[in-house]
Amino acid sequence: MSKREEKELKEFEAKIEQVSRELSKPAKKMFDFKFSAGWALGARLATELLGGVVVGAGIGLVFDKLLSTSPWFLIVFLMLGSAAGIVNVYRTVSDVQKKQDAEKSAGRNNKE
Amino acid sequence: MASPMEQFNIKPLIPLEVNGYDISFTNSALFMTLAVVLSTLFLVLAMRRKSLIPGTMQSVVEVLYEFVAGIVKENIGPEGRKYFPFIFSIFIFVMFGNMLGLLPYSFTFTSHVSAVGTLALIAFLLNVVVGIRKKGWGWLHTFAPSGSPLIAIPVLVPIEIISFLAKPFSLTVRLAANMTVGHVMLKVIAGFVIMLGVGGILPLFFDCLIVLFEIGIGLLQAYIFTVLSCIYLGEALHEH
Repeated sequence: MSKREEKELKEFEAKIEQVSRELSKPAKKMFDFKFSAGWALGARLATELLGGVVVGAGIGLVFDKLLSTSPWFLIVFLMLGSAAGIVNVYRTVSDVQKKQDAEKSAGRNNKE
Repeated sequence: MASPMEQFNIKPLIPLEVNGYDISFTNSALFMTLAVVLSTLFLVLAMRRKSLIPGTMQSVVEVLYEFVAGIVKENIGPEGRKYFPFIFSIFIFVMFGNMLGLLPYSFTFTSHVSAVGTLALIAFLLNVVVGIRKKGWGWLHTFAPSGSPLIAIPVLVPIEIISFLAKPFSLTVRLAANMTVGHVMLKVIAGFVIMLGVGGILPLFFDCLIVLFEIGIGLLQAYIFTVLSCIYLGEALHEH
């Protein structure tokens, strides 16, 4: 190791010590992201539900146009699309729930 | 007074037409180019002096890198490393788009469904290609969950297909709608500042808060867009 690198490493160690001392103090909250995170989850669920319905309706309209069977495919695929939207919302929520549970148990382990 | 939606107008800067198709260089294209050039300059210049102990700029880049590497590891797993460059590019591009859009007189290309939709479509097609390459015909099994009764198959398969196709749609709408809503809100409240005269100090203060909030939303949406493209890839690579 060259002299310059050794010096850099020593300075770095001092920096780490200083930062870890500062980190051990209770953190001040600059900006609470919790609100925007909750908002984002709400928007996600809304678009997830909407996505299924719109895509279903789109597929139905295309089939109707191609086969000129209006409005039968639209009706069927609208129902299927609504079901798909609900399935997507259910999956999203259970994913989020799983992640939150994992975080909670991880947090408990750290505290003990 | 200017309409709050005027900021989303696409204006051709260099008109171009090839074979009847309008491929003008627009303000949207300008800001996409800016995002690419600025992010490249930022990443390259910050990493120019590679030292063992990072300086300020190098730390910023390393934090970004490790942040995305963490997302990839968590959502795809170790085999996701191959796709890291793709995911990192998407994250940086969307983040720079959101942040550039907050500057005065700029254009937010992430508020347009056509721009974001193309990104989502690329992630979607990559998912399909990777899935078929990994599993071959078995990929079709994605649409028929194992263990489902035979009678339910005719209903389940269309539902699964629609739910699969709806993902890039909801991904697109979410990012574009979030950016559009924020910018419209900023413009509308900025309009009150002029109308109220001296009392305009109140909406001005409010607007400052919204800009702060928008920075959070812009970063968060870039993060969510990245996480979801990772989840798509992960789904293509793993069994359910």
